Amino acid sequence: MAKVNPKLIDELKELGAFDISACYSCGVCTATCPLAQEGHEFPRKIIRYAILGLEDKLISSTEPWLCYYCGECTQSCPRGADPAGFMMAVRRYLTTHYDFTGFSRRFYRSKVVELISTILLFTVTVLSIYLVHGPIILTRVDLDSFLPPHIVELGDIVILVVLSALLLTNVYRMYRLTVMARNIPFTAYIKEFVRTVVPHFLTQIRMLKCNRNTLNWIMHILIVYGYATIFIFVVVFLDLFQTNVLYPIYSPIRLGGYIASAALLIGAGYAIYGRLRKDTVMRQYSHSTDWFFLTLLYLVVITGVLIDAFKYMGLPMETYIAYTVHLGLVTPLLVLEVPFAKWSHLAYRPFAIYFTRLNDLSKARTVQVTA
Amino acid sequence: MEGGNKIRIGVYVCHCGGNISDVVNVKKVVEEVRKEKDVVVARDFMFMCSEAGQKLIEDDIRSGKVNAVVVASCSPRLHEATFRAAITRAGGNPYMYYHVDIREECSWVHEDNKEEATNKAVRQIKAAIAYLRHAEPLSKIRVNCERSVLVIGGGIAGLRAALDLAESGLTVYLVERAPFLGGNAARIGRVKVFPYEKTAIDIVRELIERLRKMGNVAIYTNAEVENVSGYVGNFDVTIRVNPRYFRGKPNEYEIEELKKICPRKTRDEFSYGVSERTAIMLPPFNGAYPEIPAIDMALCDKCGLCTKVCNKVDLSQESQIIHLKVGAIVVATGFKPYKPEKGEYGYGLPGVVTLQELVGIINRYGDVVINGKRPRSIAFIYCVGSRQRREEGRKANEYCSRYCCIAALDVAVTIKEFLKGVTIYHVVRDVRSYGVNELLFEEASRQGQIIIKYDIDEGEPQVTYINGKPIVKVKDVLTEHMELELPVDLVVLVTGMEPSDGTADIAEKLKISRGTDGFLQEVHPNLGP
Ligand code: SF4
Ligand code: SF4
Repeated sequence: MAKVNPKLIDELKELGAFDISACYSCGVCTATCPLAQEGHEFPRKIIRYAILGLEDKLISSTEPWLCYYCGECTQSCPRGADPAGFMMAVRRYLTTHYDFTGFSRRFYRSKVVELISTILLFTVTVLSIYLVHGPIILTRVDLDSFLPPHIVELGDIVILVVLSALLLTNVYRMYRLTVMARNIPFTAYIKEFVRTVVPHFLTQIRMLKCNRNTLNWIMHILIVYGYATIFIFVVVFLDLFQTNVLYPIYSPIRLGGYIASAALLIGAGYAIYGRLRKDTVMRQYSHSTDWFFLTLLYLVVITGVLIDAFKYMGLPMETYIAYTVHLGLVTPLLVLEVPFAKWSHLAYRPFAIYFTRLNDLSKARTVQVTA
Repeated sequence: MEGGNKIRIGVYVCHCGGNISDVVNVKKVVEEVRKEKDVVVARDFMFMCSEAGQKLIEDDIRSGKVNAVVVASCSPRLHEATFRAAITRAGGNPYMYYHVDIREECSWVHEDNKEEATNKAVRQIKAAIAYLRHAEPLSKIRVNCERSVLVIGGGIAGLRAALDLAESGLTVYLVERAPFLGGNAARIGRVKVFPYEKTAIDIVRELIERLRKMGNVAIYTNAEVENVSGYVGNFDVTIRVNPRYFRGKPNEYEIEELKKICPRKTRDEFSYGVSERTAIMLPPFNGAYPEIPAIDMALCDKCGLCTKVCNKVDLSQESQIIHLKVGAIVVATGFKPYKPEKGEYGYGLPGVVTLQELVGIINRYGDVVINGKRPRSIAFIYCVGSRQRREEGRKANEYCSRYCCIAALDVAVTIKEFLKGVTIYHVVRDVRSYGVNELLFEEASRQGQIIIKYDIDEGEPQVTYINGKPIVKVKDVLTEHMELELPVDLVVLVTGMEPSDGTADIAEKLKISRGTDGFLQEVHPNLGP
């Protein structure tokens, strides 16, 4: 017997599902959705959960993550209920629910929290750099003495560990909330993990199932790989990346850095441009956190490029300031976005495919057993 | 037929596509009836009603072969007129005609025995031939017609009809059984009725006002039709006007006293039983007609207290009999809301009311207050007393009332305007808000009102009462047939219509037919538009 919670819909409306009350459950959206399949008939089914206030049902659904926001449904909805925007709102909602600290919820629901936490993290980072920085040499650019790599490395590692831990606990909570499978052999868990999480994490190939999404997919890949490259440089090759050495242009580290930055600038730029123009369904409405994420990402890349430019131009003070600002921005970008907000989808999406698969397998087995 | 002009009968048997000829052997029928005395022509044709079919008859008449006609085809309901017209066109007498129904009365009901069906058709036609042998050619006559109309029922339909007729210059007698005009519409009161931007009471008030200004309208309230005789254009009607037991309109002071004085109390039907009234029935709304109170003798015990505060009370009045002559009668006896049985969808539990009672509450208090509080959630359960399943030993209204969905949506939208935060569930079988009323559905849906659809085969919604709250349990077809539990503050049973109490009586007096549902039967919209 399912109990209803009339407040649920209000919460979703705050997160961007403005028009969903107009839905009269015709199912056209599900019929046109290129990703919906038998057993996972979204978005209509998910809309019903939301409208009725079936909180448990909604939280245990993986379907919102299987939707890639192509907007097909919104374009065919006879009631103008914007089911695609609704699915996005549900993803925001789910993100706040997987997070056990409750911070995500605050972050999504209040711009004030968004702003204050960013400023706070920025200030803390800049302040710590101020406290730990080495001699400021103004005769030449000497980043290594301004901020010795081992200190940055330490910061990197701490952030990496903490964030991964947070994100993984969230994924574990997601598992507990969504996976009903209790009778699958351990090997299947492994096999399915390799089959789903790994390729989807690396390729986001499902995006291409919606024919409107090809360009989006390319841009998305640019961001993912641009970011991954820099991430690896920073975490693994920091000694080579942050250095006083002036590399020739064809050196892999310098060239790689340029290409990655360009990819990020194009990818994120495309996203910002689209959201300003509101040219597709997916970009009609931007939640404040969407803007927040994109702006931060863009600023991080630009300051990164500036560090490099100043270094090669031989402007020491400018380089140090750019570096400080860059790190000041990186911290909130990572700390806020990865475990608590938009960026967490890098884990939730592939894992949702995995968890859905586990549920399906378990259902199939149950049917077999009873048959 | 008069001497000299000997009867010459033509018989025309129709195949009706195959509707008749698949069962009745039409050829054989024609052969059989041809042998009859006085039959000069017997033919069969695929569709007698077609132009070619009619022409057969016309040609036979024009050539002088035939002067009396039998058509054996469908029921006379639609095509009797067709063939009479054909005869007239050819210069024959349209009353030297007999229409035999060998489709509804023969082929359709005797599919299982073709031979006997054929024999029966022959016998039916022979009877018609025999009839025509004795028939006289008739001609149309003119009779005078009274230029006055009786309208029975002073609800919104009766008021409207009376006004239109009066405006077209006819004398109108409007008869209402209750002591005041207005019927159900007046009781809907201050609820705005869709799609008009007006409240129901305003519409009623306006009609009454306009009607009273007409010089050619007589209104009888507290009155009943006793007897009707005569025929179209000339009806003799007897009306009994029951006494109001008042000699005139009491002044304001007396009204105030009258309100307090009477000790006999009952539920007030004007508020759908939400409040009480006494045996002295005062005009229930501003602009009600008449402005004179009436005493409800079924309740009054003649204690005489009221005579002491108002000298216009006259308990000795007797009913009056009035004779009228009218040319036509309009029956607008209306409906009464279905009254659920105790326990039907929780009716009788606190917090469970009918739609009409909710309307009564809104009118009475200008707000929705249940047990002293404004509800935060409301569930409307639809089709109560409509579309019922037939069960052994229980009367069932199998019809759709065709208004309650719309009424419920209308009330829900109204409520949502003054109870902003309220959550409203509509527990429906279907929402039949057809035509322009779709806009009402749209409005409700934009306001975030929630539709839950149940399938009667999976059981009806259950209403229980736990911890001081009604709870509706229902399986929602739209959500994987999941069983939902809705804890709400108020359950509203969206009750349908039943024929008003006087309907059976009036139908009997006027000899007009009623459908199996008990409502008066209108002319079929396709057959007599
Ligand atoms: S969102 Fe639109 S298309 Fe989908 S079920 Fe609702 S009304 Fe139909
Ligand atoms: S009008 Fe609506 S509530 Fe009334 S009987 Fe028909 S379907 Fe049911």
